Amino acid sequence: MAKHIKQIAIYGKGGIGKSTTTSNLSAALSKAGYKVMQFGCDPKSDSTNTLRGGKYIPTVLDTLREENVVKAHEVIFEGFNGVYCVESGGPAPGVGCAGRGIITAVQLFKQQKVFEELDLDFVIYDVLGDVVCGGFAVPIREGIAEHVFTVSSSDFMALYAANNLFKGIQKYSNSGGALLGGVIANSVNAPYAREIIDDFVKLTNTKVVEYIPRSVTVTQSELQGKTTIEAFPDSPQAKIYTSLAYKIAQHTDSKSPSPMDVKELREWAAKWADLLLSYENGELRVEAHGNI
Amino acid sequence: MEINLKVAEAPTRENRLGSISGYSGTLRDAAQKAGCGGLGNRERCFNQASLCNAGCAQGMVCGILDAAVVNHAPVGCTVDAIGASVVRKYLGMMLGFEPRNAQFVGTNLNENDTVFGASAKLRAAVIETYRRYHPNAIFVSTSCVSGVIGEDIKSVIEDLKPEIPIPVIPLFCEGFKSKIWATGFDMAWHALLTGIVKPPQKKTNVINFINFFGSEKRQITELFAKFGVEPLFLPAGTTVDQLSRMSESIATVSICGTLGTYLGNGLEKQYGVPYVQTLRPHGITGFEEWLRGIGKVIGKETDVENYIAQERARVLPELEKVKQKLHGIKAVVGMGPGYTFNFIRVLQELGVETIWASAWHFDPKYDKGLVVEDLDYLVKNLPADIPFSVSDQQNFELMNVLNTLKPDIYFSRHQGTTVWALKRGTASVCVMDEYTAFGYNGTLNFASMILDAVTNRSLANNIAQRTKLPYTEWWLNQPNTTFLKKAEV
Repeated sequence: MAKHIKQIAIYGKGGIGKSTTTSNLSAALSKAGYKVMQFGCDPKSDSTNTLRGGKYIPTVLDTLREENVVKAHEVIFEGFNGVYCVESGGPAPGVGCAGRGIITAVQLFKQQKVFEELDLDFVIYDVLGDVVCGGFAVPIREGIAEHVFTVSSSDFMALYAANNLFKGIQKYSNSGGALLGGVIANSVNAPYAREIIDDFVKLTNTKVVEYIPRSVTVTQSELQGKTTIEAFPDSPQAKIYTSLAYKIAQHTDSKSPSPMDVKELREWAAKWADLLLSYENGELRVEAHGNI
Repeated sequence: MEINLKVAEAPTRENRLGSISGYSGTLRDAAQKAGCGGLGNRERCFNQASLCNAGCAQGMVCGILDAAVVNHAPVGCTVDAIGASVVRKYLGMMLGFEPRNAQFVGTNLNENDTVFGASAKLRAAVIETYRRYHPNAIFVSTSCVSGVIGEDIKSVIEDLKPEIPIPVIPLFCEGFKSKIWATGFDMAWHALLTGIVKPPQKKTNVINFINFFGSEKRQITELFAKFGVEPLFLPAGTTVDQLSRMSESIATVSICGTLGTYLGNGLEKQYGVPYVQTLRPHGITGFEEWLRGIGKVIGKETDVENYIAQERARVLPELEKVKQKLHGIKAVVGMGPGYTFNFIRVLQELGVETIWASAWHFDPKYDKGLVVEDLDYLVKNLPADIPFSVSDQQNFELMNVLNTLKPDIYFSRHQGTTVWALKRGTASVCVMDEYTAFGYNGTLNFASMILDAVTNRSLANNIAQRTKLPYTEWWLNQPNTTFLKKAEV
């Protein structure tokens, strides 16, 4: 019987740490013995950099542009610990249609039955931040990813983006689309950050899969062109990514989220703003006096 | 690439078979390169014409008697409905079903739709199409616009399931996907295989007959009856129900190798219905090999041999008489690849020498990795190699060839293609009917048709005298390959 390949899509606000998280996740899963493919869906084509020593790989779309016919194997490159790296690529900023690019790249792979041939356990789609058109929703649509995880910090704009994404997932959930596995809380350092995200996931009917602090270890690794798993495998940060990998490997039940509508979301944010103000009551008041 | 019915969309010809639209060389060279994988496509730095595969895809399904098409496209693309309706009425009159317009609806995508998406519009269009026409299947065809904005056709269709009790099937035929119009056929077949054909409940004595129009329906039905089988000419003139039972048939044949490869091989792969891949039934050799191929599959070899012997005795002496008058005639052939190779063989049988072959595109192989039998035959049996170009219907290339070679006659198959040849004074025959030269009678009639065309050249002469061609002297003196770039292997 054919092995069931777990296909996962990682979404989240631009710059929030998706590619960092995804690359470390791929690296950790690979070290745990799984066969992983990381599929970058961003015209910047930088998702798999840190699995490839900081180097960019030729993208599916660039190769297609030059050659008209592309065999999937030509655009799969092995990275750290044998993780298969693919970048869909896309147009330069300001031209063309990146969404259409994602459709074309993903379809190419679907038609060529590559995943079965490589005997993969995981395919992880790292998708560009804001799902602005049909094309970027392709990994959520029926037949591609089964589980979506969204990376978010406790910042309002990141949560707003997550909430928007939940609307997309909910929309596709009835037609066999991917379901929400949970939120990966990133850059969670301040004490209140956890609470904000916890509250958010409670209201939107999902859960936090892992809390990942912001760490200089990650920065150091990236500057070396590596994942934390590769550069500092024994660090506390690496342990957190490994824990995330374990949880995702075990994860089975994703569900349809309950996104808030805009009004609800703003009111919720306002409530937290007030709470935060009263949290830091003492410090803030003193500073304020100082300024006056 | 294998036929994969688990995906919603078939790969294009270029991706699946390595088909090309630019080449210049010879038949043997093309066949050899196709065999060893060294056949590269030559892009053109100047293109006069092309054709959208949507025309072929939609054309195929429009002929299904009780199906409808919803074209998710701007209104310009839906203009295909006009041609589809003309053909539909013509077929109705010829084959005896109601000569009415095709049930072809367009969603009229406009600028707002490209920005905000048009799922709601598509949904409403499908619902209205069902309400108005009560078809037994609806094909939702895509367009360049719906493709670029990433419209999620599948989700809309999935959502409609509770409301619409008939199969609603996506038909992916965005024009930008393929330079080869035959990709459209494959997309249509894929839609049938994934959305209409059901697993077999029993076995029948029906032979699936993949073709374009079916003018020889009566004669072939009589012929097949002699062997205890019944042809189902498809897709034009069939019902959704009949198509759903293609899996129960005893065999599949196709009038054109290029047309039928995906469906024939798909039915064989998925349901075990043997696809009889032989030479096509044009000319004597082709017809006999074809009939023998069928005979073998249905277990009627002896009956077939008896029939062949009988017909040979009847027709061959007549044919010899006409052949003598055709001796020495030189021809240029320009058709789709299946028919180009097919007709070169027929012409050779009639003593007409083909001095140039032009195919609109070229499939190095068919699905299941099978060799193109009509080409293989030519390579093995022609006394000499023939110059061959793959011209993607570039009229300027063809006119260049005709001007240089000045053949006695030009054969083509698609609307308007022989007009240009006539304008430069070349006698031409438009082999528009797919069953021209079919079987013994057909071959005899075809021979007479050729004789008429070369004997009475007044049409070509008179038109040429009164026409100034738009091609410059410069162009007519260049090699026809001037605008072909280097091959990319």
